[in-house]
Amino acid sequence: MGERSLAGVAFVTAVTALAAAWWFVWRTDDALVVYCAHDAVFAESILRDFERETGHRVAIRFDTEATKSLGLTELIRREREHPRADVFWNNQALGTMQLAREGLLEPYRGAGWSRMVPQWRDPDARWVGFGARLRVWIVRADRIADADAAARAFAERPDRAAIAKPRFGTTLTHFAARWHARGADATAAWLDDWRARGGRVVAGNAVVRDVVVSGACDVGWTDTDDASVALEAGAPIAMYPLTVGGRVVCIPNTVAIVRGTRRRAAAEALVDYLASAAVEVALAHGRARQVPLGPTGDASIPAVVERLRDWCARGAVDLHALVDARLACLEHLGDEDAR
Amino acid sequence: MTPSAAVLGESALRAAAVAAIATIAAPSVGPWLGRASGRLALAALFVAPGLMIGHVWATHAPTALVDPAARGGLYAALSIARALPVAALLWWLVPPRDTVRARHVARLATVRRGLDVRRFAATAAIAFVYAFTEFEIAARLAVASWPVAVFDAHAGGLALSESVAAVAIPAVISLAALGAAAFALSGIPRPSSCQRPVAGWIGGLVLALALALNVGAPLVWLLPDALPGFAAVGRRAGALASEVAASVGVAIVAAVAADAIAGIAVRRPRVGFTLAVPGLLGALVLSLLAIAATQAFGAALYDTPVAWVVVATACLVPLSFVLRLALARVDHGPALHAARLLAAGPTTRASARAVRWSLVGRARVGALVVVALVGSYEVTAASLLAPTGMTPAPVRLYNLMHYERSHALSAMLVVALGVPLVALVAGGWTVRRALGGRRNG
Repeated sequence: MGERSLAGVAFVTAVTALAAAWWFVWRTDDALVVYCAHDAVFAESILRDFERETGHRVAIRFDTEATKSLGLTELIRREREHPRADVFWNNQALGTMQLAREGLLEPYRGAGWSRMVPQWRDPDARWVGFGARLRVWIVRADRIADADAAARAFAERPDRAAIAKPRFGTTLTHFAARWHARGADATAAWLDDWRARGGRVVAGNAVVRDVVVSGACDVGWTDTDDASVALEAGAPIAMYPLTVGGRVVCIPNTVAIVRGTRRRAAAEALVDYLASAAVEVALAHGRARQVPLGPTGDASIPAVVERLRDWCARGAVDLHALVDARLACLEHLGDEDAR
Repeated sequence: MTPSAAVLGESALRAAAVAAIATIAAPSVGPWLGRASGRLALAALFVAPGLMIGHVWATHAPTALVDPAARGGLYAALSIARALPVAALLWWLVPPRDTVRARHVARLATVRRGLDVRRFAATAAIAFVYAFTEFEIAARLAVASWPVAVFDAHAGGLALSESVAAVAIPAVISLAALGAAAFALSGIPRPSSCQRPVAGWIGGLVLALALALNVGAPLVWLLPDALPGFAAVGRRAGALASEVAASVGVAIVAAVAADAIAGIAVRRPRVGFTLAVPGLLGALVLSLLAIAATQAFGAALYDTPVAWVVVATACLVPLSFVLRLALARVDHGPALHAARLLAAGPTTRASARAVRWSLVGRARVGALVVVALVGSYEVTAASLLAPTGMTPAPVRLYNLMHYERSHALSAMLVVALGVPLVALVAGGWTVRRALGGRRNG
């Protein structure tokens, strides 16, 4: 056999093997397609448990971490004419609210929606929240003693402070809350000034945590899940709640059925599963230490999560009011990138 | 919307500096291609995944991450180390302006020869495009870079038409550089045979430094960190196997297809250069165009691996082409001539095949393994084009890396990057043994 013939055989074999593997293993025609913006580290085991318990096969598309949650939100918008996703598990609320407003989600008043308190669910049942994170100051415990000192250090020494790119993830929600509470001009001017004075903008909340843990910065904005991972690893840090207008920024996961789903029954089962007390308790016990938002009965909750729950109980920013502010923020920050 | 002029300018200036430095180092490093240890070192540098390099440096140099100047400096150093094998191979492939005899005469006559401008320009221009389109390390270090800006903007909701428009100016810059390379190459005669330059200590030192930056340090940091994490990897072994299989499967198909295209192109270098141009534009440009094409003309292909395979193939063609050219330059003239004579006789035809296989075929399988390895570590096209449910390992790792540094992640990185290496090298070795044995028999 000549070299060309060998190359031809190799090519046909490789293509056939790949096509067969895709057809029999990876193709998602019969699976419930879940677009999941929650961290794969935590979400995958929960979805696999759902598969085992219900027998519904799940195909997961995780978000690109760098553009946390925004990527899948936008993908659902792009696919509005030919939706691929059945269920959207977002680790945010504002993007989901935007999709609901655009008519891309289907209502479902199931057991999960019914058990949730009104603050954390859509009145029209197009989404329901569960297991939340809070925005927090992360500080070097040996240098900064409380939230007031963190705020002072953040304002006075921006070169020793870090935030994630404000265009993405929970930092976007945080900015939307400031935008709404303090006004567009004031928020934009504050960001410009802070950066001009040397404020550090890094790739993500985990990097904020890492630069504080390493001592490269003294203070930063991050989420409770990122800070909890470092605290439990024994890092010399502390976290304090970040507030806007005196209220904590509490950001729930949300789950919703995508308009046009062809697997409605399985989608409903997953929504009820994720918004259940059992999953909220599991998320509280997970490394992300997420805060249950609905009643959890007598279930044991870790002490650190009970503390976060107390912070939430003092009053959280109303996310329903922030959808427009989020869009305005995105537009401003997108224009800024273009400049 | 396009990437800001500042980001584009910074990317271009940095890539130009990286290409210039790598090209200046290339004459010293290139001769190491003549030694097995040098070839291995350069192959390791070339194959070392940007994903691993970016992650390890990002987690072990947090001080650099918060200081833009330090971050830029670190990224430039890593990029130079990454561009070095490309520049060295190209320098070696592009024949010098003067013949060996002319250079010897010039040395004897102590005549000072000027810079070999065309050779330098051709090498630097292609190294520039290679550095200009780099994504993985820039994304992980959060360096201002046009591919990261466009990727983030596209994933963040920029309309496809605007994303495609956003890559127009970078694509024009890349094409201009490739045009300059083509012009420089057009004035250089084809070499009559391979010249064997001497590997010196300066090149060895540069090579060692680059290896330390992009291979040594990452492995020294990664391997001990991974040891306690293997148990966690074992708990999701099935999922990880599926992810690795997806990336390696697509890479093998793409590598074989790219090799076939390169085989056509190598006989006509100008055609080859033209076929390599799309791949040199980078995975981001091609992926965005592929999404546009599947949405406009091939809805049935949307969310299937077809677009991913096509883009992966296009991205691997330049490498396959360069490796084919490199293999063609190795001077086996007398031995191949003897093999041709042997092939003429009916009883010695098998022996002729065996000689030809040991001279050419084995190296080609090795080259194919290198191409497939590079393809299996690719992130950009895989991230944008892999269908739902077929998450490739590099994409999963890329996402996890943004979340945390843990023993489990380090172990996953070792497994996900090591398994393709072991599998492809073992596969290549088996093919070489099987085909070599059959031809010898």
